[in-house]
Amino acid sequence: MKANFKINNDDDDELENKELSTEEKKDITDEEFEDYIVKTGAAGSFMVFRNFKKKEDELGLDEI
Amino acid sequence: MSIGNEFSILQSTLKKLLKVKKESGFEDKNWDEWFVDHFSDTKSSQDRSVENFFYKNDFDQWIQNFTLNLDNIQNESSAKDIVLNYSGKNDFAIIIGAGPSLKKHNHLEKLAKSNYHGAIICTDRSLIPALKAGVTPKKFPNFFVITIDAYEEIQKYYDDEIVNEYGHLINGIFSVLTFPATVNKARNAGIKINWIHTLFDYADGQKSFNHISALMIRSKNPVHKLPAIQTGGNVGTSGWFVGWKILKSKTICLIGMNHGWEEDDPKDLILSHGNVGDISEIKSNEENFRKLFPKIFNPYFKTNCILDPIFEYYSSTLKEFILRSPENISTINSTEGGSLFGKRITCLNFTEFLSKF
Repeated sequence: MKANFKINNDDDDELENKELSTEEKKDITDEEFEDYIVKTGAAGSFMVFRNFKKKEDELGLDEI
Repeated sequence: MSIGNEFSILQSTLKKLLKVKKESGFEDKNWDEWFVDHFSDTKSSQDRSVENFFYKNDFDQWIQNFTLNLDNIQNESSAKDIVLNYSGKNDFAIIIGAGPSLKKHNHLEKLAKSNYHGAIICTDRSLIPALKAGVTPKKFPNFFVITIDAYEEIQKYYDDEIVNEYGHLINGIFSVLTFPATVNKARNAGIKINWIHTLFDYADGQKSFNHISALMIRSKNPVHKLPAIQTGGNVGTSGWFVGWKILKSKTICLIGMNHGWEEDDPKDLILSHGNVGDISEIKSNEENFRKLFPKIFNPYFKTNCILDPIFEYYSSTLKEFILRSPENISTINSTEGGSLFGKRITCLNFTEFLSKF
């Protein structure tokens, strides 16, 4: 049994999304972000829901 | 890692990988899809910071609120039923945030005088100002208000005689985690209560609170299911999701959704995310200020706005979801300022929007 892992380039869509996500220059580091939240106690109203196993669920569910 | 990224594994390892790939439902998919799925279970550092904050500070309150709300949730409407009674006239919705542009551009007064005929979704904080400006359910029958915050102080947004006057004509959309006194205030004003789940841990499966609370709600009536929305972390983004996913609107217009500060807002207001936070430990030298609170230029409205770390996070999150929404969903930002612009967001003067819709 042979295993051959060929490395392909990411497709254009993914590259475009990466560019979009950085269209506003983001100077703040993750540590500074956390520091701001911890020190001020301000974090908005709620957390953002993430589901890496089922990305479509992140857009909401009709009913549960 | 071996030289040149050569990927070499033992035959026995490959057999194990093939077995796991098959068992996780990826037998007919390529290796890259399986690797991405298997190793992408990592939240961004910012997502984790915010999540840690809420688990540490608010989770207990959420559970208490839900428990006290449960009886009412079981007996009152699910927000999924709204669409049955909603005419969805022309598929338009305006989300009214409480950002500074609302007052600066007299958007409420312009809306009150308009012939707009779609839905209005007021964030809780903008309800009283909207009603007082003449944006009422008498003039706009498809009138909704939404609350997702679980904090006690949110009840003040329903505490005014004008809410009592128009409450019986308003549809309220409330998270099951809302502070009970807030819902009571709305209920006593005659607002019809419609419940939603606010998603936060559903990805954890059967042990998640989102899942368990849904089971508890359905314990008396198995068909009493509620929509579960992505909040994007704030009530404005929640309103955008309600417009799209619950009201099924195709065109969603945003006003008062700055997700940022005006240049002339007081520095302390900006530093504290609107007097929410304690800024005593924040270093406010100029260099630090420019880094944590960058000024950005909105090229469509030709305005500047100042972000704070939280607005930057929530603004980029809403933009992400707008990008991921179906092509037939149009998002129009008529805030006339702020940080929401970019791909799939049409920036349009509010007067122009009202003349078209």
